[in-house]
Amino acid sequence: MTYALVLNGCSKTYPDQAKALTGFRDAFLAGFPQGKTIIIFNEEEKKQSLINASATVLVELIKVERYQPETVLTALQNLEHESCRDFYLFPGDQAGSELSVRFASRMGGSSLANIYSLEAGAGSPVCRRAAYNNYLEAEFSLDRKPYCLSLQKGFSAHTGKEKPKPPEMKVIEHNAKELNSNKAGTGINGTGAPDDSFVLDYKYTESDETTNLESARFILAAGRGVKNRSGLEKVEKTAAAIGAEVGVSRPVAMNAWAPLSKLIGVSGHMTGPELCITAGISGAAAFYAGIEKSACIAAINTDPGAPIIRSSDLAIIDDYEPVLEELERLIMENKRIEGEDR
Amino acid sequence: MQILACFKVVPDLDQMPAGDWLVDDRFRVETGYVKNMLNPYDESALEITLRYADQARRGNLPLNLTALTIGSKQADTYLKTLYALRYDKAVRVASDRDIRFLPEIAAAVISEYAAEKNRADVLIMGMQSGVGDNAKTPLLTAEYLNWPCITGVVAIEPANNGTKNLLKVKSMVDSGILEQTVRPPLVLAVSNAPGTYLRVPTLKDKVEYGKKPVEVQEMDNFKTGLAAANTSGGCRLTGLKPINHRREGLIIDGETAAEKARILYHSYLRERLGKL
Repeated sequence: MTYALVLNGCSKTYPDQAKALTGFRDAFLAGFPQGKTIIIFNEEEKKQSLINASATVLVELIKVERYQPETVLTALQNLEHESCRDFYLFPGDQAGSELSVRFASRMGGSSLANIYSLEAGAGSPVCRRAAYNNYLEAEFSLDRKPYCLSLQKGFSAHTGKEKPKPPEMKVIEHNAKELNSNKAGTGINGTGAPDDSFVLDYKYTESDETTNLESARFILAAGRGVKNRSGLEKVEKTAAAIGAEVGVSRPVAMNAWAPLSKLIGVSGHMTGPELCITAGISGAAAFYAGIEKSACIAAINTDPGAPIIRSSDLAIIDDYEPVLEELERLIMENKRIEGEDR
Repeated sequence: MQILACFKVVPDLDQMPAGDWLVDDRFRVETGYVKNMLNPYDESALEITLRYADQARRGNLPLNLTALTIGSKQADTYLKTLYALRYDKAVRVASDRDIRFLPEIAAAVISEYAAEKNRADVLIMGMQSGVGDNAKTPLLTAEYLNWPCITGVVAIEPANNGTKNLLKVKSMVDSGILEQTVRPPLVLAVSNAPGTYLRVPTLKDKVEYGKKPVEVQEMDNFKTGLAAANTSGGCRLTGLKPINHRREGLIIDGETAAEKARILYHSYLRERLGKL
């Protein structure tokens, strides 16, 4: 069995992608012969740092003008059509998930998105991922090579048996333009796959919203119970005072009371703080997936039957506002006393 | 512009009591007793399409909107609402097949409808839906049609005053917004698009447009759909079981909210916060 890790070096999340794929490889493909890493990149000056983060001896670079899925897919197809690997692993973001499904379709293989485990032995590989909005776990057997798999968002593995860094790396460089110049991508029916000519112009605007949710050690998460934007603003003030990072559930983000960058859950951030306090959150499984790695969850909700109560370590059945007010007072008082002691 | 918006009616899984996640020997789960809803990503796709339509109509641009779903008669209520919201055609592909984990079939039916029956320029739908959570249907549809695909779409509008049948598509990419002027045909996949809950039709529009009959097509008439049904896309479901989210759930009692907060802080949080 052979494998390739496919990384998007055009993305700011590259270090996280590399870490997640390396962790997955070490956890589930440890007995396999050394695989290779394919890195899509667009900035020459970042090339060496991208290579350094690779977990395999063999690295193949594909340079693109910008990350454009049709171009990348065709380049991948042209690169791999003669020496197709058994497994292709993609990161758990939108781009990785897209590539895994479309690449498998073109290569006649099988794909699964958002997986968190793999059993790869002599028979058909078996993968697991969440289904039913994260309430159930589904297990699949894969029947057709290549097996193209994207990881669950926020996947992390601590196997404790990470392989040492390869002593010497072998790097092969390609250019998407050259790879695709003689051969268009081939669609599922043997006809030509689309290229990027459907895009007449484009403009990318970086978001000025920043968040540290994924590395935060203390999170205050707000849900539909805050009722409106001003309710959320109060929660944000409390969070700022007590030193917590604010996260929100999907209804809050969808009502635009908070930016999407604050969203926690399967379609937002997957967090793992030491402490997560939830206020006015019912605890739908899709949200809970984003906080389930918390060391401690304290929930505040008026409904004792809300799922978050069963899924928390500590719970207060009450309005969140007076509870947060008192918590803020206590934490601030403690900070003041500690400050005086110093 | 001929736009085909695809959606799915799903059970509101967050209403399922924790003890009711029972899986039978054919990996089915009884969800029939909870209310159904539009799949949230599809709901956003339907509303994004209507916002495009508002602009296209203001500019007198040619426009035809079709809404398509695959499933049982319970979807007809939603299709009639879409008529009332000025979708020109509402189509249901009737099927009682279990396609929860077979996005290949949904994609094959949609692509055949788009190419042969609808002649769509643009296909728009949610990226994934709860139940199967496959996250494949729009991507496979694009592949089956050999069309490009844009994911993470949050808005579309006519470009260049619509004179060249071009679209301006905004999508979330990485940590920013990508705005592209594109030439159809193409597939658009919608995920989180803030502020895109589906509007409610006026009573007048309900009376005037909401009574048109839903067009029903039998899935058996979709030859590619049936061909796809013979494959599973290389993935076979071999297990389905509840995920245990349970923690201790210790409920803190007190006379008032403030007292509960004090107990929580002094007994459980102070030491923990001190270590942060």
